[in-house]
Amino acid sequence: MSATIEARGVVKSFGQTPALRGATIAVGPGEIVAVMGPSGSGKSTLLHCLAGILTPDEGEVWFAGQRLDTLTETQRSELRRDKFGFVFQSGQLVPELTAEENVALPLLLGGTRRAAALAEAGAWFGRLGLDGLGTRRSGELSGGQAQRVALARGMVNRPQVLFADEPTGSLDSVSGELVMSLMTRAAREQGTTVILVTHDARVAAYAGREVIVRDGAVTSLTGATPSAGATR
Amino acid sequence: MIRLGLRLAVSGGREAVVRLVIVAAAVGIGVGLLLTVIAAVNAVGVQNDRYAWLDTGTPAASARVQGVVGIVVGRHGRAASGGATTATSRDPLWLLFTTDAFDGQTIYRADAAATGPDSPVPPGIPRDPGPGQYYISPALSSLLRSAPADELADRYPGHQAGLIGQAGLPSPDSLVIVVGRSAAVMSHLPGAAKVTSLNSTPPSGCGNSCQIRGGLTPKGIDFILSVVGLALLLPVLIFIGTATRLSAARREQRFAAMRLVGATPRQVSLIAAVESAVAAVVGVAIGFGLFFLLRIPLAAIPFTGQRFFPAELSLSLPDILVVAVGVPLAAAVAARLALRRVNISPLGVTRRVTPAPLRAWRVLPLLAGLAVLGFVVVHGKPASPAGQVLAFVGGFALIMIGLVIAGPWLTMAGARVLVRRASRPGALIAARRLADDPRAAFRAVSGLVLALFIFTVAATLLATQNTEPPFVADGAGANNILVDQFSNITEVSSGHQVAVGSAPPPSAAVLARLRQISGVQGMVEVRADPGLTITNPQLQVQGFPAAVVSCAQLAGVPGLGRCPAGAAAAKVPASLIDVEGNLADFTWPAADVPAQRLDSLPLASLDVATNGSQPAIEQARTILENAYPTGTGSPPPPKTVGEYNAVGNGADNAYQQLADVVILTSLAVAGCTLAVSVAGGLADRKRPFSLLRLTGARLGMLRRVIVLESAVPLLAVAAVAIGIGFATSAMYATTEMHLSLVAPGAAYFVLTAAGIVLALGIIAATFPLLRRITGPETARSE
Amino acid sequence: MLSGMSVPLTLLGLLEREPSHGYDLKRDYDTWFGRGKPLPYGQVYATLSRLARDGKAIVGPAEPGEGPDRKRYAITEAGIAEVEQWLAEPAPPEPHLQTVLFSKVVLALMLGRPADRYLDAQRAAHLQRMRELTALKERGDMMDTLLADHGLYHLEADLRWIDHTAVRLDMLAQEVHQ
Repeated sequence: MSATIEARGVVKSFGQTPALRGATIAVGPGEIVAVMGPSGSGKSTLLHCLAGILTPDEGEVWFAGQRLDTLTETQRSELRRDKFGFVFQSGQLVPELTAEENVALPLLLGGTRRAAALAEAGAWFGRLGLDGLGTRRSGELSGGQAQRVALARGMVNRPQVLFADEPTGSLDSVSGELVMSLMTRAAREQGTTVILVTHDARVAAYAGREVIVRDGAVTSLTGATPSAGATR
Repeated sequence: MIRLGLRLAVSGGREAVVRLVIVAAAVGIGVGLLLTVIAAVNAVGVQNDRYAWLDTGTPAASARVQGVVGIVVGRHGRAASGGATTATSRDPLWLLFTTDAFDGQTIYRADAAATGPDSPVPPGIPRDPGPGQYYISPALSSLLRSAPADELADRYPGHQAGLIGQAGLPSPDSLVIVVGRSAAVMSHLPGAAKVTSLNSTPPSGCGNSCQIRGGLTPKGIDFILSVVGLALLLPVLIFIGTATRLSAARREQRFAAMRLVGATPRQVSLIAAVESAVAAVVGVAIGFGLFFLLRIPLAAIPFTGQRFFPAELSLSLPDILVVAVGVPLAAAVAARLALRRVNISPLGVTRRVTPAPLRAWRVLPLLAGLAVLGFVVVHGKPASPAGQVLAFVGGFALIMIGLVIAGPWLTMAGARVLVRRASRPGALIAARRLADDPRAAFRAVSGLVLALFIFTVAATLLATQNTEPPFVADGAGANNILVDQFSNITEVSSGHQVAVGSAPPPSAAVLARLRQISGVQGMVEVRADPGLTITNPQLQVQGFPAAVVSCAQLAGVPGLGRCPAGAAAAKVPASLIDVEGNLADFTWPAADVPAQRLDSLPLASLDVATNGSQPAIEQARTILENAYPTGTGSPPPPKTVGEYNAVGNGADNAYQQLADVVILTSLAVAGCTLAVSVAGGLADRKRPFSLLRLTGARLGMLRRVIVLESAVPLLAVAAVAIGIGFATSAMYATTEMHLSLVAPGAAYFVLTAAGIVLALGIIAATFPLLRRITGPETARSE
Repeated sequence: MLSGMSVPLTLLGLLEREPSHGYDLKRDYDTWFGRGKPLPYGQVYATLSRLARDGKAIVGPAEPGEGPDRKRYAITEAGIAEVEQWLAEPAPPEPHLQTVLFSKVVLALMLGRPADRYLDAQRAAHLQRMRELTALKERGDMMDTLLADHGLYHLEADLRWIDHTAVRLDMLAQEVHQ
């Protein structure tokens, strides 16, 4: 089965510090993969390279049969807007906008008219248990509510891949579970591939399989090659 | 996208609104100043235009115009080659211009006689005045009514036929009179000329070395504009820059979040530009409001030495459009350029790398500016006025910009000193922050440093200017000697100088009337004797044309010098007013001229010593003018020695006022920059400061940190700026004014110290904000 | 899953509600605590008999016309006290699984085998189990979720120990070889 998104031998360093030394991973359509490893192991860097946020020093990144790392900044931005979704640990909402506008942001950036974008965004509030919070600003939301708003934003444009980096890191366990549950459910409904970076095993348990990033390379715990796993 | 930008700028929560307000206020002040400068330029142009007709008949106005020099804005420089004039009339107009004085003010007098119905008519009056009539400016008219007749009104024959309208007056305070004469009388007045059209080339279009009766040459306008532009605009730009940096980190973070979600760099650029433009549009509105509020008070300030008519301080439609459209456009462009320097990645500010250390090259622009001025000192001024403006203004600008560039490096040096000498935690924290980001620390005080530099230069130059020894020194009341000078010193083809012109001796009646004036202390009739020369080494001129005086008369006017013992007559320079030095100190050489011959010689000048009171001077002046009506001999009407000296000083008062306004404004702007910068820095460091307080640091320590962070850069760079200011003034004084620098008065030092104390006060004013911001609530985990 | 030791105490606790037939007790146990593994009738009656023998329950008089499965049981004072004590007393925190894993790691180090690979394999197994439990939570009701969470937290704790140990393998190897 062909991979939706994959990295081949990605090498990335920050100054003198090498973060990734030949990382290879392939994720199939609709898969939910947990990328685990100790902090500082480079898992976030791998996610950033896969999402086209960072350009690898060596190696290739492929998405839907196309080279990702050779695209221009503008092309990668558009890709993030239309095909990818993001849920990061914190600080991702625009404080000046309301929750609804934050969710609608990818649509607005893509040129959707304001009324239509807000309507589509509003539909997500009910699904994620955020009724009535549409007009609040991010500073007025609790941590769990803010993360669900971020999730809605990540899913509003029906992405092919959802990138989640420690999405529950700042949340208490109940809120965290709610977020993970909603995330996996929504991803399954829309057939979204999910790449989930986490060090928390209970969060990783929401994924279909896990890979470990160690010493800048991607391995699996069972010694099998970390290629596209079996379908769920 | 644009809508999104608007949304973010306007209704983005309290922090965004505060920033919008401050940026708009800063832009508003800048736009207000800009509009004022533009309106002033327009008004100066209009005012200058109205001096044009007064220059009819001056050699340069009627000769080919040398070319327009200097900054041409608005109505300047209409002149094409050939000298613009009004339409030619069939019937010529007899015209003679003189400048007169009363109580230190200049009166422009035109004696005119029309030869026919089609004669040119001076602007502002319905028709040429007939014999026995005069048209008069409103200011002069009220002066005539208030002053005693024998001091003023008696000079002008005839009665008032009407007032001169605004079209003929440069300023509402202008003293102008057009006296009607008969053609027959005019034809006998030496210096009167028949003109078929009136000059309409303003003095600024008149070339570099023409004689003008009033108004500003291009050099004068350029100088004023350059000084005002530099001295005001740079602090305002710094203020705007500081305001736009408020909440910079938060806004960059927000842009990073948008980039993550898929905003392209162009979209981010566009949104930033829109936000910037919105603030600028609000600022432009504020600026226009400020301008219209300040127009009337501003018109009362005599920038050029003369007030403006309030309506002239106006903006043309192109001016308004350029500002209203150009400023937001410039703001949008500036925002895009600012983004170019920062790389907003989807991950925001990921790895924080310490910025490159400041290198010593930063002092180079400053040294370059000093070098430019130094070059001028060593090699002399450039020949053309354009070159001079370039050299001085260019050097000045380089120095000011050099101060701004070198500032962070000097701050760094100051920080290092502080680190070595700091023992208390507050000083260490301040030193660390200064070393970490000297640019930001200096930016807060850069406006004040520039204002200090300008203040130093202005104060020292004005002090030097004011002590410039007058042509004839003030010893023994020489300032109050009224001189009616009939002989002019001119150069003949052989290179010699000769005295040309004389007047017949006064009648006994005139002498008697002069003696009757209370306050007149003595009179000297300086007799013209062509061929006489005086070679007194003290006069620094050899072969200077001489005249003769009776020692008996000279004894009564000690301010003009002494006779040798036992002499009956002495040789004196034919033009005493051209002598440098204190006349009273001179002992003139004896002249071998018998008394009878002396009494028969015509006059080179008639000098009346007064006690300096206005009635005495003006009455004497009136009598002299009536005795020697305008046109007899050379143009200069009777003037006191002090008034001759004050011709140069008149401009100084205007410049002093201009300098005061400029310095005060730039100080106010700089103070705002400091306040905004300190408050903004506090807001940015809310969390670290409140955590410090929680862990036991006292509020006093935090206060010390804040004070030191601004005080160290201020003092370090201020010391340098003041030193450079003195150096700059010294060089300018040497080359342009040919004087050595004089230390400014105590007022300068007091005001400088007061300014620094004020700066500390502004910093202290943010302490309540510190207390509120670092309260325990802020340290809550967010 | 609840260990075998607590079946008598659980039945006793169910009995405290009201006197019941063995059949009712088994039905309730299966519903609440069986988790798909119903108790055998024999175990139920054997447990009840033992409880009666120990004085924690008493058997009611046999009702006419009923077989042995229609005996009605009731709790005694002693029985109530026993239930009370059991509920109040914390369960012994016996990490029996850790004992097994600990032995495996130490033995591997002694024998020079790749202990880190064994730990990785254990991690994989734990994560697989955690996946199953998480899926259960998604499907199931509140009771399922509570049980699943209990298991998940334990598994997480195990994984923490495994992480901790993995880092110290070298030090452990040195100690073991002394």
